[in-house]
Amino acid sequence: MNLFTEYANDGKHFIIHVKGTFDFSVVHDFRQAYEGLSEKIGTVIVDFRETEYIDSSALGMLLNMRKSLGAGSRSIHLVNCRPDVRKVLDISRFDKLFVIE
Amino acid sequence: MRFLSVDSPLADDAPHLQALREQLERCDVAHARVASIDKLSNVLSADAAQVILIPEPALAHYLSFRDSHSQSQVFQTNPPHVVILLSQVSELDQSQLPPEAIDVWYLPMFDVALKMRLQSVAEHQQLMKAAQEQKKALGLQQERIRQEQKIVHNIFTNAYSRSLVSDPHIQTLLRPLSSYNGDLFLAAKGGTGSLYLFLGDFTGHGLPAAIGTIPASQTFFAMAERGRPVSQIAREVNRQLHQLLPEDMFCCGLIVELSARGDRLNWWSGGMPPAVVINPKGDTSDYLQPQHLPLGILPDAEFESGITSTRVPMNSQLLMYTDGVIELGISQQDALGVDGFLEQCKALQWKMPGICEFIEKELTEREPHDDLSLVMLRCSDTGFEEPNQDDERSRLPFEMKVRIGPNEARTLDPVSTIIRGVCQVEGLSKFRPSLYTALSEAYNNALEHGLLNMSSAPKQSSEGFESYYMERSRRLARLQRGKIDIELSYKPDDAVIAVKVRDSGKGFRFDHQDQPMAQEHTFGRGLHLIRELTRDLRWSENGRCIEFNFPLDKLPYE
Repeated sequence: MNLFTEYANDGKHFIIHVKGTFDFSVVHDFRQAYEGLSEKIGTVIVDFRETEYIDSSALGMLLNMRKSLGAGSRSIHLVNCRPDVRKVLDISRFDKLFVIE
Repeated sequence: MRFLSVDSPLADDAPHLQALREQLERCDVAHARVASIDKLSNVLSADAAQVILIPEPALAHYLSFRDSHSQSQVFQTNPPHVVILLSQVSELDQSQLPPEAIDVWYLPMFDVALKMRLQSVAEHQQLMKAAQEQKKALGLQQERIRQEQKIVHNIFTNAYSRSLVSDPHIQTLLRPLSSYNGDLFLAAKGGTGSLYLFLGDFTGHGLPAAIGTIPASQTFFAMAERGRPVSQIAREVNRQLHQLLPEDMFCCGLIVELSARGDRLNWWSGGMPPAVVINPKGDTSDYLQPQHLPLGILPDAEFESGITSTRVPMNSQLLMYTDGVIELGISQQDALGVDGFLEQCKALQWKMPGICEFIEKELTEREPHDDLSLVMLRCSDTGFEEPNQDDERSRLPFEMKVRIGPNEARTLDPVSTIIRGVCQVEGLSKFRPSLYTALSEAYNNALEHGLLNMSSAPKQSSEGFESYYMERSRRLARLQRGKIDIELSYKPDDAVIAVKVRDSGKGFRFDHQDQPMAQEHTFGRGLHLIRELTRDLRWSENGRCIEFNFPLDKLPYE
């Protein structure tokens, strides 16, 4: 399993970690991870600390997540991006849609 | 035991001494007559227990004799005992007696009195012998303990040697109660440029408390250096300590990760007094209240790894401390307490030198009863560079051709395999993630559109997105024909890897490729990535072949 999730800040934050390659191979697990997320969760964090590779299918998944979680109503943070991952996010101007840390 | 009976310089003493010698003879006691004190050097032996019988008139002479022989082997290793003989009533000044004097005998003596005195001398002798043997054994034991302590000390020192003690973000005051510290403070650089800290306080103090710090520190370093999340580090340390420590021992712990930019703290606290966030204005802005049981108590299944993520203003400070600090003075029923301690710190404007001075003063005035640790962290950009892999690029050009048929596409992960191979070449590994992205986009494009005849249109909706990939694996499973040729050509002189990906499909129309990408559309994003990450992108063979140069003169994000 290349994906694991955890709650933080007394259940108000939800964190998704993707390990290794973030591409279509986790498409199903990734959607399931955030589906039916409780209303009281105000912040969703995708933690890239263990993400080595990323491609455009990952970008698609992130956009779908944003749409599904109600664009703008919850803040979605993309954190701990390595420079290469950051570059890919920047190319697609994801900084306009997500909080990239 | 042998008696040496010294003659007296006074002739009047002679009959008494003669009588004593005869008595010794009768009592079957080994003895020898020594004509004068000076002759003692001929008869004293380092090998046997000896008692010198010295008439009081010869005492002064004996004292000077022993002074001049104090460095001799006899006096160093097996000093004789001395019995002073008095034959006339005279004052005997006790301060004149040598330390080896064990008795004073008045002459003449009745046989029965002499026998009792001889017995007590023999007992004394035996006691001394036993005491000496014990002293020797104790000495050996002490030496062994010293050796063991030295080894243990080395192990502790080595165990913590990976800690980033001199990082400019960190100031500490660490005061163990004994030579082993049951408090533990560690700092490590994380894989993604963040800074990890671990402040722990094991039950008790001294060596038993310190022992648990070794496995905890090794786990912390290993996981922090790989950039693992705080929750997982807490879980792993807990699992290990739970397995290792006796029931009544545990570790209060605060694990903190300061983000690379220094504006976020991810933390897990079990049983530690609340660390304080101080904003740049000098006000306390947050408390890291412990939310869990200490480490090592709960079995893994019941362990709560929930962390808290706290945003902090740039240049805030985080003050962490163990309960040794707030319990200062507890034995005088006047503990400093959290409030008392923080008040003092605030009065000292949260400056570490002043706080340290204050604590040191408290330590001398009140008796400490526990290990004590104080850590101040400055929350600012960690400044950790990514590990620099600036090794020289190989100068040997090479080419690689890979043909992927339906079977390979179904069962293998060709892009990963190719990238792994290519990036073994000296100087190329740092380009791995970006090269992966570019090649992966080209390959997936060839596979999905060229071989599997898929249309990207459904990908635009969330539902369509996932069903697109389900359809992809369905079609891939059924794929009978077709091939993708990947050619990589490493050109060190041009500082590029030329990439060509050709599929055997029908080709496609690509007249929209130059249109600006719609922000929220998933279609075409892959192509856009290739274009931004590479140079000289061109299509040929009616869209069946894509070529580009992946630049190696600088990293894409530089």
